[in-house]
Amino acid sequence: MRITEIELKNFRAFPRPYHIDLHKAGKNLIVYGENGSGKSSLYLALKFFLESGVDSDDADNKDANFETHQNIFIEDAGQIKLSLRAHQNAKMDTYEWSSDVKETSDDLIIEASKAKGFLDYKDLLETHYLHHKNPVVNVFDLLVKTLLTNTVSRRTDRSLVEDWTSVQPPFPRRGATTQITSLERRVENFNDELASRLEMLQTKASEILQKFRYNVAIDLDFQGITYNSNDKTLDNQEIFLTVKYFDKDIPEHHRFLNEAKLSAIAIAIYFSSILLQPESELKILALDDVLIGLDMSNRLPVLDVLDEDFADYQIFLTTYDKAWYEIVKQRTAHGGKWKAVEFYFGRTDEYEIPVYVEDKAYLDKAREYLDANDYKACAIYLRTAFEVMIEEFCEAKRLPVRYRQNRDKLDSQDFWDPIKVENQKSGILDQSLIRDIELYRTRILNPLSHTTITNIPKKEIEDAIEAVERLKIALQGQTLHLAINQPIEYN
Amino acid sequence: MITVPYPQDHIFYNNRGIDYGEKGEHDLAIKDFTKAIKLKPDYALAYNNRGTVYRDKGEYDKAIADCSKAIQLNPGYAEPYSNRGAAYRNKGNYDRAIKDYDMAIQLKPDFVQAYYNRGLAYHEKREFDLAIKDYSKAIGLNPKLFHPYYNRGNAYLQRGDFDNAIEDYSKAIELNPELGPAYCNRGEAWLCLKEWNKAKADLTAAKDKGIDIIAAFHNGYKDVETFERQKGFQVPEDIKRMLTQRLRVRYPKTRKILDENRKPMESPDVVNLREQLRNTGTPLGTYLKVKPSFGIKTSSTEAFVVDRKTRDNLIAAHPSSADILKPFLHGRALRRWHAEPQEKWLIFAHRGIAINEYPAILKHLENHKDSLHKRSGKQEWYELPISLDKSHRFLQPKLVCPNLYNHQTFAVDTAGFYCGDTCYLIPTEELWLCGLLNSRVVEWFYAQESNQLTIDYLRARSGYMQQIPVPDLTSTQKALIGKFVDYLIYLQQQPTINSRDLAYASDRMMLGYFERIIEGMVYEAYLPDELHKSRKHLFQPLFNEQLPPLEEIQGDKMSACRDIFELLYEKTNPVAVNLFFLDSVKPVRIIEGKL
Repeated sequence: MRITEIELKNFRAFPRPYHIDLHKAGKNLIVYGENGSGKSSLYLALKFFLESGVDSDDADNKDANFETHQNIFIEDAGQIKLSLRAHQNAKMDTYEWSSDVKETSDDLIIEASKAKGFLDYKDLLETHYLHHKNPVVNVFDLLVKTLLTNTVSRRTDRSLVEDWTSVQPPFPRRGATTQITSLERRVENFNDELASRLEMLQTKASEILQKFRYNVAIDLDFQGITYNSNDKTLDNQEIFLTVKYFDKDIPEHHRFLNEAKLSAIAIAIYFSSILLQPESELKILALDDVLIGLDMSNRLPVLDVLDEDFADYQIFLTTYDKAWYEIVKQRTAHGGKWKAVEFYFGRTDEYEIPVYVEDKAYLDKAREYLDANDYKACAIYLRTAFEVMIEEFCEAKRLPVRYRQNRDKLDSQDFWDPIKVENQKSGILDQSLIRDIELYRTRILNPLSHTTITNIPKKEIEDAIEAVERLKIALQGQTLHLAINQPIEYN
Repeated sequence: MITVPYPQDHIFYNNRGIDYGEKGEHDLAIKDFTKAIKLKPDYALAYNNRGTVYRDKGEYDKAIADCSKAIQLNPGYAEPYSNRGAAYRNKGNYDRAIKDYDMAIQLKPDFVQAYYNRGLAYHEKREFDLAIKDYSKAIGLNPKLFHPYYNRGNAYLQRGDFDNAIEDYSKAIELNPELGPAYCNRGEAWLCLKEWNKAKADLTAAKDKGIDIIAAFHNGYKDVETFERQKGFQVPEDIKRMLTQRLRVRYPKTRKILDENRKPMESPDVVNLREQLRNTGTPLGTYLKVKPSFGIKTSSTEAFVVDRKTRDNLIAAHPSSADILKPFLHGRALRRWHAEPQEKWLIFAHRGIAINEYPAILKHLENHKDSLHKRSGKQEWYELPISLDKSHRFLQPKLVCPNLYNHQTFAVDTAGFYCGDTCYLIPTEELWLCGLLNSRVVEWFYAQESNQLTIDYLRARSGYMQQIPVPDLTSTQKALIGKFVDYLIYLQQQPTINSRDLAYASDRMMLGYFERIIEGMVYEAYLPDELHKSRKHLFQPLFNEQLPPLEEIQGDKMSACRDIFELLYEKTNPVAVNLFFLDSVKPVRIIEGKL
């Protein structure tokens, strides 16, 4: 069972209808996108869609409510539609989730949600600080609150995180023996499940680490949490991670455990937790930027693990690392199992929209929309093409760009100015091209001009496209040098 | 101006770290400060900044280490003293904290935060006068801060100086109208002054601002009754209700619609499911050949129930005592599946007993003669309210459960224990019923039918117990459930299961998993159509495994059980798959409270 089509409308960063075709085979998807470009919205769309099947009684869980994700200023009601096929020639079933329609209560979706794997880079941030100065690495929080949240207890049939919640404050008053005994029983249940689970996990995770090309075995030492009824505290929230080369301890293993290795271990544990549990018919694994924590040399083996151990899963990878994206794209190009798409950030006078491009054809897209007489959409793609082009140029040639605290606030002016400065030295652009770009930048390539864009003759927009194409050619293959200004100290 | 992040620059990292820190991005901030320190190892500022962020993150030891380093690098630098003091305070080491604040103030006499923080440390040491002095100093240095007002208010409140407390809270609220705790505490001060309307207004405001006023009140006074006792006056009913914990509900009603009394309404799903279960099979009362009942009313339990030492003494004093000393069960000590000996014996002095034939017993009972006389009933003072011919119901195989329980707790007793009225007895040889009665379906149905939906104990009530529907099953299906009941009876008695050693955690998970397997079969028994529609089968795959009955297992039964566990928990085994996804079936979700 695989997802063959995704349709999004008025969901988080997607105000307009978006359609992602994963073809009859239900391909895996690799998404490149800048921060804020909508790639995380896609990740969340899939996640919340799957989770929406179970009505939550928990008033805090607003994510299960579609309205939470809609932009109320857009009149068009939002929706997410997933189309599924059991195999290439099977009939396609479409499931919708929106404010009015909820077709996700189907067994198929509910089960997919219980068995799914969704990990994002924020989940792994913690690994970066675990080892800091500490000779022992305590991974309790990382495991209980993040990596093992999907793990379902064989005794309570609740997830580990629910069992963990059941032993949280408010704690019983001192002397309330019945409540204390009952809390202690829940603590024992939690300990038993976690301890026996870790035993299975460390074997499986070590296997996976080998495949990541870390020739080590991990050991997870958990002695059980205890409830201290005098101080009303839960003590010993500790799972100590140690690493061995085969059977030999690594003496200063905390030095061995740098960020990249801890990330790898965390990913291996997460993969194991999914692989140890039964599989649903629809199997989804989504990794939002999690691989960028690994060294490049270890990321490629992860692709192999995905290929082998998650062969039946439909995989969604997102990244903001362009180089990595290009590598994955290249690696997965043959075999027809993967599709690569890119998201760019577009602004209009009304709202911000992600510009969705399959393989960088944004200038073509602009022409497409021009032909369809949708000038507004055309302008967005054209501007995106322009912005990406000059930004990439500045980056590649390490041109000094104005420092802004929030990178999202950088606009095309910030990239265009340094190019002009540089041009005075190197003269790579001829003056007429600069004049054209400047002209169209104010009239067409400026996000604030879109209210009036419909009044601009088609010919002029065509000329603008042409100017951007000329710029593209002119910028190719130029080299420049860096200039540096001293930042100011403050406290 | 054009600037770029120049990766070799410690100042850049320090500054960006500050940005991150202010945005609450602790981890990114720490990373930047670390980088800054790496680039400039004597960078006291960055050490101090990283220490601050560690403290925000709750990593106090790291915070202390960083601040100490900053002090070492620049001994005239006041901030790290204050920050280190804060970390000590968070660790509960108030004296060291105060020392650090003293130092910070000495280095920088107008250091508002240090005064304020020292006030907090004194406050936590319950030295309210010193705390108030420091808060006042902080207010003098910067009258725009609301925290010192709020905390000075708290100190006044704790000293019983309600008027000053109210004045400070009001000032804090003026400076920050969103400060929920200030409303809550001002409400408490009004309560102490018996200003009911003002108290009510403030408590309502606090609640609207997201304060859990019940928890806050509970922390201070336990409950309204205790508060009234302490203060020596009554609180009006409406305020009392605001501050009283509502009973938690055992099962969510699955719908957030409120009826006219603002209570959640039952959803049709719940009503229909209950109706469906009620109409399944045969009621337990009809199904059983012998009526269930409670045990013997042993009121004055200390007279009739004795421990091993007393029992031995009674037999030593006269051998006839042994004839009427019967092994005994207390309901409270029962566990699921297997009724274990509790080292208690009942003096079975039934009606019409020739008590003189048991002189040692008589002598023992005479010690309690007064209280025994006070009992109502037709029996002699030395008799239990039961006749000899009723004793057979203890001797035959039966299921026992406590009269009060949190979750279904039926145990199989084939050893002929006598029971008091803290036990409910179901005489039967069909031990599979134990599996049925311990299931969540039955617990849900029973709680619903007997209208015991709060989180308190469930109480065994014979009338409702007898209404529990027993689904129609084939003898093979009953035998399959019975097989697992047998496994569980065996497992419940094993040392590794009864230990707390985490080395045997997986043995205890086996017990839990086998219970879950029975659970699955019971769901299928009650809701076959719903499960089968969703392709969930338990009986058939379990039957296919041809598992050996416990008594036929040769050799080490424990390792045989572990093999069965491993087999049935293998992730592709249909039993494991169907159990794992059982809660995609809606009635299962309703029963397990997962809606």
